[in-house]
Amino acid sequence: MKLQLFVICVISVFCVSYATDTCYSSVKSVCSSTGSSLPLKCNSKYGAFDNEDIMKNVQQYTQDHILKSFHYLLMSSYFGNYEANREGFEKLFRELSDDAWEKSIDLIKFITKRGGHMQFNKITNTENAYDSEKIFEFEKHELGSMAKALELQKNLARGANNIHKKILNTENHDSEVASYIENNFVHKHSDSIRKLSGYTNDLHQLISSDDASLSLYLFDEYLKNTV
Amino acid sequence: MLKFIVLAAILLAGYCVQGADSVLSKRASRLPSCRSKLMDAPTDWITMEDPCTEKMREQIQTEFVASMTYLAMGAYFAQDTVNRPGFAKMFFESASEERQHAIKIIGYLLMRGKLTSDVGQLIRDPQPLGSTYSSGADALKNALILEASVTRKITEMAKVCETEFEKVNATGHFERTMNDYHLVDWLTGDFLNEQYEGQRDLAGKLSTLNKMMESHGALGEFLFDKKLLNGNSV
Ligand SMILES: [Fe+2]
Repeated sequence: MKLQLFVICVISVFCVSYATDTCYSSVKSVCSSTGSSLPLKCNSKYGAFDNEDIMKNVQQYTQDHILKSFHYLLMSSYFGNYEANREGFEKLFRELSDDAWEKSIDLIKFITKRGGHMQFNKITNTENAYDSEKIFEFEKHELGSMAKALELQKNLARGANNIHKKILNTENHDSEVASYIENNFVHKHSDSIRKLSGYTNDLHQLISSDDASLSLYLFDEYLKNTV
Repeated sequence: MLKFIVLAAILLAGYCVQGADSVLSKRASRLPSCRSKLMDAPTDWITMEDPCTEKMREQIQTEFVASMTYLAMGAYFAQDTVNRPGFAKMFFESASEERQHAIKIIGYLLMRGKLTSDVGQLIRDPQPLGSTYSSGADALKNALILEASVTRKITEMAKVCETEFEKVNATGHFERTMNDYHLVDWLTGDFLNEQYEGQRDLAGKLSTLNKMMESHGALGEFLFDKKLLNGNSV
């Protein structure tokens, strides 16, 4: 009996001496004979994701990909109509839409891997709130739409850099998030931006020629075969 | 010699005129070619009626709401503190499937000569219908309710698209519209088929899960989740 009492004393002293917000101590108190019904404080949150503001940034970045996937899809749909009838543009924008959609699922998986959760409601007061246009304006001609596609990709590149910048400072330093952003986003952005810029400049030259409609037709054929 | 000079002068003049001409035409063509020129094509072949078209456009938004709802379910079950990767995988896949449904409807409208304007209004900030779930069974139940409501919408749409009505045509005369046989066939044969199969699948999963939970509680859900994760039929 004395021994039991002693053990309980030791355990409770042990529990109190540890801060109650760690996983291990919460397990201790749940498992102790006092039978606490407190929830476990065990999660996979560490590093940059301890910082609420950085998690919001990644959530916002995910929302951004969802919105861009809609925007590109509508651009693609427009060029698929019988009047515009540009299969190459339709295909290019559809691919950009698919890519943004896949990336948004991937980002959600990443957020939850790092102990965060996804937020779908509009997130305010983050620095990243640069491009949350919800009503989609989109260009109805070839050159304008290509320029728009380029702009949207640059927005995504800027978003990646914003997150990267935040996690490189000393207090939030997180090499895993940095490497995730680098491997899955920034290199691909430089490729797609270069490609879209090339297309935009080609298009500009082509429609300045005497026979713009033939040029556009041939450029669309080219897109259809290369994208 | 004189002949040569005259010839040269003519050639030079010709070149200048042509040069000036091409600069002018460059200027002239630069502005209008930014906008694609609309060609006059007959529109007799574009036969979808407005009420039906409106329902189809609305369905695109409905599919995206379903897509976002599944995406939120996936996000919920992927959390480390919930840890149901099988459910997460299934719901992420459903989210992409719903997006494909929306794209399929867009494709149909394009095939019927629609979507030459107002494309920007097709997707209007779809939001998920829920964000947290008390259990895997709770999410499956919600998914089943969602699918049933989508099915009802498709059925209602088929009804609208087969209904003939009187309308004033372009020449100011009354005209009786046609049953849109092809669209209704596509909706019932293709879309509704997928709905009914999907609903049966969800209902079966929910039933099995409920039985496992009844006898084994948390262990039942844990085992069911691993089955979903490995792609085993459940
Ligand atoms: Fe669907």
